[in-house]
Amino acid sequence: MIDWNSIYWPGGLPLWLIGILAIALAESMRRRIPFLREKLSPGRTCFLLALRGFLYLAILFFLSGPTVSEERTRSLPPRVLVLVDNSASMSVKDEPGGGSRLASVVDFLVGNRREKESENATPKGFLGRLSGAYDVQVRRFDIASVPLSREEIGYLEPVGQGSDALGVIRSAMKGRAVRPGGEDQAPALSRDRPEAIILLSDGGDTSGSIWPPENVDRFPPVLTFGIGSSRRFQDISIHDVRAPRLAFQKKEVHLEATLTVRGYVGQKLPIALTRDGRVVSTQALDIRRDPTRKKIRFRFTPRDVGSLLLSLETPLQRGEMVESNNRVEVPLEVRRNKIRMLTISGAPSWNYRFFRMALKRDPSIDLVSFVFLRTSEDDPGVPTRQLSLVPFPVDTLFREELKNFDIVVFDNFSANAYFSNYYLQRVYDYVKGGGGFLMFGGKNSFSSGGYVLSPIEKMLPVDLVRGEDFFSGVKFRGKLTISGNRHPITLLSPDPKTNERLWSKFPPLRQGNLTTRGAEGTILLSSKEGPTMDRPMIAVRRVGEGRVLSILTDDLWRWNYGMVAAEKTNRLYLRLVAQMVRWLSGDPSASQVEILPEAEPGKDGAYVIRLQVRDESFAPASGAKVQLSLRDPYGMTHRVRAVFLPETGEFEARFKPRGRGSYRAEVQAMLGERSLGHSIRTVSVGDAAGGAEWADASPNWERLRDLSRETGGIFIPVNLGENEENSTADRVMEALKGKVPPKLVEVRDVRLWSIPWIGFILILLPAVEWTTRRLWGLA
Amino acid sequence: MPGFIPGHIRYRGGRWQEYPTAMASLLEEVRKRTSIIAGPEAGGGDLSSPELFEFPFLYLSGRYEFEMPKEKEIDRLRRHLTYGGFLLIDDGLGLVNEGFGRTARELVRRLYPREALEPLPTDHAMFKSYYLIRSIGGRQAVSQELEGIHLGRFTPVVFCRNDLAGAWARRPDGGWIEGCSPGGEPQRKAAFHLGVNIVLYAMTGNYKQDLIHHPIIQRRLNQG
Repeated sequence: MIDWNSIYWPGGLPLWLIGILAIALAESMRRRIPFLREKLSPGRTCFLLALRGFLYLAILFFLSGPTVSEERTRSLPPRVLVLVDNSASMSVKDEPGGGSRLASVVDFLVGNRREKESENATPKGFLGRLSGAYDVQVRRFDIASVPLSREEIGYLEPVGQGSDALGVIRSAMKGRAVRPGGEDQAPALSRDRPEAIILLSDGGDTSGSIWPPENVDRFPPVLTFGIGSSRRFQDISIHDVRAPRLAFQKKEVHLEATLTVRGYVGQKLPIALTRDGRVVSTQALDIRRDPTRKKIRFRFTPRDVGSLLLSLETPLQRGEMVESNNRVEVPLEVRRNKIRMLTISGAPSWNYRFFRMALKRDPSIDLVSFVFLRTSEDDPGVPTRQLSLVPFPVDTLFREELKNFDIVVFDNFSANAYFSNYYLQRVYDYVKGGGGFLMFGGKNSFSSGGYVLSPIEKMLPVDLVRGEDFFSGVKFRGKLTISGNRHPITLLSPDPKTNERLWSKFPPLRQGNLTTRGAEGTILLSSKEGPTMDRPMIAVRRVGEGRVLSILTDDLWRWNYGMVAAEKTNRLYLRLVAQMVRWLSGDPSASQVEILPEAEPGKDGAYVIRLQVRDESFAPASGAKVQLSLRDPYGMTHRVRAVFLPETGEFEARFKPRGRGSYRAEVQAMLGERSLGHSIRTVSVGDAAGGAEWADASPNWERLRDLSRETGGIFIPVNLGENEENSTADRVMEALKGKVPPKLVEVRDVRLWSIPWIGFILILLPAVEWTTRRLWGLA
Repeated sequence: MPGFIPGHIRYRGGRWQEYPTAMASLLEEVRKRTSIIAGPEAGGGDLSSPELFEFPFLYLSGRYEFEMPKEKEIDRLRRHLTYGGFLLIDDGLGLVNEGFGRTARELVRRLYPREALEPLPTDHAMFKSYYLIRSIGGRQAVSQELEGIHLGRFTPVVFCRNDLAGAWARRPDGGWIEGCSPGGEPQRKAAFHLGVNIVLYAMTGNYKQDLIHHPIIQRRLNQG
């Protein structure tokens, strides 16, 4: 049927051409007027001119390409969308010894498997019956939907890590079904909007949607099948855990979770907080109602720094249908509460001032400073009570308090003047035991400070010269060594070339200490010019469990101020100081041994853990002996072999997980007799969203019932037993009969001149003119 | 190489160096009383000088009005102070709305339009960075307060109205150029003590506010 109101001009001859043609036709008519007047009466002249004019106008009109819409109605089989829930909760077996929820759905859709075997014929099942009368599309869904062929239905597995039936229906109505981060699964559904939807689900929802949704009037009739059995469902689930990912040493953390219990009324359920498999504390919960939903709270104070695996768990009860939701793992990264630093400066200096300024910017650094404001040779000129000087508590500091510091700094400080080697030996022992030690250069440092043959010399990364080593009045810049270009202290940019460029920006220094590289030290920065050429400027060394950093100058403040003058910012100096502190404090990010955060699944189901093991210069330690152990979610520890890969410079360890969950990986690396360090990390296997799917695996038919009621569908509360399948299918077919309207399709564009009767008129006009002219005696 | 050399700011107009020997006299005092290896003389230049950032400690003094530095120079000075520098302003006249004081205050206002010079509290780290200061010395005793601009926990600008340089300056024969009034030599001594403390404060920041020092310092302050 043609809609005359829809006339439009999608394209014909260009307007300018029509204009020229119109002028030409008008001119031809004008020239004909004298001839007609001469031969005919005025009335007949007007009649012929009107006929010719009407013909010309019609030609011009049709040349402009007028078009109208024509709508044709055709009846097609109505489209029905069948949505099959294959989320993890559909794996629950509601009957002892029976099949899973999904298995019963599959049997219902494509036919009973036993029937298939016995009759040796292609069974039709419910889908077969439905396809006879409707255009059926089947999709499986969890948090998004994917089309399914009939063949694929038989192999469907309940593996979806979430459920979002309403989101999937909305997408189907919009014509899109997009997986988060994935590609469009079913484009152009909008033209295929289903006339009815059949939803087979246990009613689980992990999306947090409100059932029924607000815009339900846009939904087609939804016929829902309630899968599962809520009466027989018994389960204890720990879910919705609230816990920090990051905790601080000796600071209490609070863990909260929700416990949902179905069944087990009258029982007392124990709940435990465990750490690496060992019980930390327990609670007991009385179950008085069915279902019970309660918050459980635990407190935990981590004592050690590192990666911990806590878990909240309750034992499996008799008849419980889901085991995996009885335990929730809570990985916790424990960091130092504060980095405690002790700095001892031989005199007030700009080096101290700017170093302190940089340290004070970091609230996690607890700084205790001693600056020797006067020496025994200085005369303040007033009694001590008029001075702010405090006695230096050498004994308390070096005998009792040293262990409480993470880093000790000697800043141009000559210990000889104040205490004996006994205290320096304490510093040496402190470093061997895991402390960080930084020595700045200066007139009172290294050889010039009297450290030759002292316990401090034994642990320095540089060899001291005998005699004075302090120099000044020479301008010198630093150049990064190969080690310096990858060491966490001197790595100001991850790109080596950019790093070198940044280091070249630092202004020259003017004083320092001349030393040579120590046998066990690593030089990160050396002087690149003048008489100090190639002498160490920044050097590091591992001593026992501790770390030693030597900065062979007390002129470092110029890197702060020089950069402010040249670059208008001191960010590089601040970053350098921050990285010094991180490395000295043994921060995991500056560790030589590191387990990379994510385990990657391989095609064969094995997971790969990647390890970075580096020597003291932070070069890949290909010859390191690496011991990796994995503790699985069931508390079993396994040794895993790690292999060095030259192409990546990393070690790789492959393992086949025993199941989804958190695995605690612990690695220890040795290079020869020396320990390169160790690292612990919890790696996750599987998608964490599965936890939400198991939070409450009980069937929720109320949701399905409400959805059907609001959309004009029907709800069928079934546990699809063999006897019930046929009657259920009958009910669905009956319900669909009245709900699904015939389909109207096809709207097409029609050029006006192609309509037959209009073409006839166009031919008729010149014919009438020709006949009339003949009758009136014109040629 | 000396560990401490102040930078004396040269400005246009007025007289940037009223007492050429004042700084050397203070530096000698710093060397004698403390462990700081101070240079013999102040260095410095104008605010556009490339050497400005060689001197984290800047000194601005005078008695008369001077030409306001250009915007670019003020920007450089602001950057210097923001990233850890220190500026001591020593007003030789001590008048708020006249002479050096007027221009210097205008300079501070342009440096920090959102901050105001405020009196330093008596427990400020500057008053206990070496000596326990109880009075503000100088050639004159216009004010018993120091004023300052506070940025966070640091005070990078300190303004003194008592003409410290007048009290520090010596003649070539070692005698004092100016007498101190009305307090005489104790007032001069207080000016040196304050000078030493200001240097110590610039080089150690709030170090003396650290908890470890607090009980002993407080006990001595209580003893008077």
